Amino acid sequence: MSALASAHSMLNSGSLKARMAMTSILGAVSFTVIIALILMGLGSSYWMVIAISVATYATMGLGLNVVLGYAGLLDMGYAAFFAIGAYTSAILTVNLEWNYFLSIPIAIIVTGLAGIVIGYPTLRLRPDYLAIVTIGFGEVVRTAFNNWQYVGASRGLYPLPNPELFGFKFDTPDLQLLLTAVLLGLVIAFVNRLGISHIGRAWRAIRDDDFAAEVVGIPTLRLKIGAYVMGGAIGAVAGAIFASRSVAIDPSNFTLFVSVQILMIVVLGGLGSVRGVLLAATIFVVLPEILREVQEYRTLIFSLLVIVMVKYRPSGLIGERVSPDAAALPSLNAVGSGDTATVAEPPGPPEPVELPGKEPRVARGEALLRIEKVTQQFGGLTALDDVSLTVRSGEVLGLIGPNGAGKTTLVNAITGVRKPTSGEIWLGDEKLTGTKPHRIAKHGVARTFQAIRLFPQLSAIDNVIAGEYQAAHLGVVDALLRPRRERRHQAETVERAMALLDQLGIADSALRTPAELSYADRRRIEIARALASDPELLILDEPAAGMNPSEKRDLVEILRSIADRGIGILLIEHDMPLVTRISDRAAVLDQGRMIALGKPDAVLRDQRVIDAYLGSASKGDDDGSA
Amino acid sequence: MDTLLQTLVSGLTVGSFYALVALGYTMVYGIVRLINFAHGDLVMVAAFIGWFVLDRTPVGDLPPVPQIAIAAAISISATVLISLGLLKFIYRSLINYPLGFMIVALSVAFALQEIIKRVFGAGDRAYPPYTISTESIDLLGITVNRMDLVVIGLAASLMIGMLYFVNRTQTGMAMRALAVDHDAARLMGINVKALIAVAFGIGAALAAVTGVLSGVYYQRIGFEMGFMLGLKAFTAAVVGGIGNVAGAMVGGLLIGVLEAGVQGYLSGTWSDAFIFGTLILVLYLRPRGLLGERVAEST
Repeated sequence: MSALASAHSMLNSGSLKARMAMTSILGAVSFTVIIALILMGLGSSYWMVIAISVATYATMGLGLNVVLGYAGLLDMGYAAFFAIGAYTSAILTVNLEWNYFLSIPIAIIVTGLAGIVIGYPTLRLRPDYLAIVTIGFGEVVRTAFNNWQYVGASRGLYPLPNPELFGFKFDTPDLQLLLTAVLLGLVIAFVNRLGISHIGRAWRAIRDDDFAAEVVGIPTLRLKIGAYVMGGAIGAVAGAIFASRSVAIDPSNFTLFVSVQILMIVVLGGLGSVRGVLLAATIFVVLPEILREVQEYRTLIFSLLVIVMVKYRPSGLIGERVSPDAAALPSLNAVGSGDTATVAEPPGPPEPVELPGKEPRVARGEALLRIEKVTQQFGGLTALDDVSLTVRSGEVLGLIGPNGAGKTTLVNAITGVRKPTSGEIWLGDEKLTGTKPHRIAKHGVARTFQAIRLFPQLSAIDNVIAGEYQAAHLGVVDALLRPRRERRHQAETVERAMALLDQLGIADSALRTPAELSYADRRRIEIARALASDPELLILDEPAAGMNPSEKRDLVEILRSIADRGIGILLIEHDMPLVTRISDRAAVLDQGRMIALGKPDAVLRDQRVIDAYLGSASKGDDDGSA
Repeated sequence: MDTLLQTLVSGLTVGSFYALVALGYTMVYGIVRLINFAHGDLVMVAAFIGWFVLDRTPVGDLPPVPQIAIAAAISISATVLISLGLLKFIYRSLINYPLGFMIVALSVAFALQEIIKRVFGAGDRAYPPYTISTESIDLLGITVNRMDLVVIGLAASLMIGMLYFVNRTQTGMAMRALAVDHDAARLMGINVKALIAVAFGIGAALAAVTGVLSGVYYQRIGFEMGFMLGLKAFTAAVVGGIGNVAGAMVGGLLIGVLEAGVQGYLSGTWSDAFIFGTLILVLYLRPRGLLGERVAEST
């Protein structure tokens, strides 16, 4: 019950309301402007300049937070975006004599384009290479500005004009602070909106396990580029803020060290936490101003703080809220209202979850998945040898075979994880071979993994919601500009996810993370996540492993009800009695070849199958001694 | 023709330094698949320890060869101890949290720089002037610095030693097994924890050799010398094929020659941009590096 209690407390917490308020542009801008006005009231231009500096670092931190905190991409050359933004603004205002305010959107666009150019080739690589490539990118950009005569090479660009709007000049520290506050407020609102949007959720899934995210239907490459570009665009805003209050800019403003400082701010504040980044940026800038000693030892102190923080408090000063959707859990309240909802209670009679109507691809009982002469070779090893198999809609097909027979290899071929050497796989009239995993998930194929791959930092319900991503008909514009549409979508997805969790008997664990749950419950969440994508074909890779007899009985019931809805199930399982009980047909793989197909008990009596399991000399009982 | 050959020789010298540091990267990466951003700064720390021994202790009164040998031995031991200490107290618990590991390693790099800056000052320090590092000899018609030959020769013998270690000794083979499959290696009775320490230790020893050698070669050392060196060495390891010992050497020499070439024929200020440009190009066209990586594919 503690999960429910915490859900209620989160529901009622003031901080959550504050967070929702900060997604409103008006709310966030008033927040920053009020702080600016208070500082202006104090009248010290010294502290106003410091405040502008805080805002510059905070803006950069928020931008890097999108890249690193939300999407988990280690960008170590973030200053490059800052530089491109500042230089674009400066070139337009100094060399071309544009108005400062017109230069901001151009700076954002140019930086975004740079993000695409560098992100597209590198973000498909292993994530750790990104760190080194982004350092390289940062150095290349700085070197380029350092040698480019048009922008004054190492001397830089000066004098930068004061921003001017309809003849009104922002030429004093208090006016510049006001302008900065408005820009920072906008950035806060947008970053908060991204964070709670369907895109923010998908980013967190990618951060936790990008392979699993791709397989459950999240277009990982596109979303990583999106994070990189949007984070870069915010860096451009920081560059524009910097250009607005500076007399000159030169390449020494954009060194690797700046990138490292921003990185430290994000890590200290808390990956993914907007408030944490704001707090850390304030500490980072203000503390050395108050304490001279800190100024001298700033780098050492902050380096050591980062080490201690990552080791002992990886969530940072203010941790990211794990489940921001608690506010929208009406069905959780409904489930919890009866005090009988305990872990021991068997799942109620599985009721089909109402899913948004999608025309089934094929009629009930027709061939849904067609595997045609698929061969998979790894070097000299033939893992699958000319395998053909059909799964009909509404049937449970048990796929069995000794360890190493090629079962998981076949699943990987179907789900696009590895393209087969030859052969074709079709779902209805859609060819799956050669398609990316997230597209295959969108076509209606969902799977679970033999070794459970849940998103470890996401709650159970957020794990399930990740599976719904590909059904979302929303885009970036909705995430940024239509919070109401996002919220409505969120309410729907939460409700569906709760219903799925309820159906699998784990509704009251909705807010727990996988680590807090039993092995069997983790398997159930994986099944719920797979079902969340509204699949036509469900592939389960040893779903009963680690379950006790009564849990297995529940599983059989659940799978039966799923199949009765017209979903085809391909079930890999070593538990032979379970396979016999549930399967309409069974197929046997041995050493990459299909050796038997038919009614489960007939197949298990087949001599070739017995030989495959027990060796050819012996005759034995077929009770699944795999 | 002369300048081309001379550029080649100085490229091979710089490349030897890169290759030695790249070896350390590649061994650690091969096992734990993590980038230790502080590795380059171990070179810097080692250079300062060597300088301290030569400049501030009676060792400096000995003849050149024994004093360098003693300074190197002390520097190697101290650097290995520092590296193992960092592994034990800081890195070990983060090995399963790659993002945290890399961020922490980066912070360690900057902390090391700051500590050295505090202890030895922000200005450069000078190694004693050895005649060998300025003497030039005539080799096949071109004049080369004798020290170039020493660096290239020493690096080459260390690399051959590493190849032998990885391919012929039991520990080396265990490391390669570990690079392919952690779990299987563990089941075969391989002590993963100890091997990680061996990789860190060897990497640190090679970094220390590089540090002292570059002090003797360039004479000037500073607290900022390590970080960029480390990044370029990692680039070299990736270009050659990460996890691949031979690849680290080829990559290191290649990056060194590229750098010397750009500096000699184009412009000094652009050389870093060229190196990282090469990295991006290699990763795009041949992500497994020139010689192919030895790290098992993970899903």
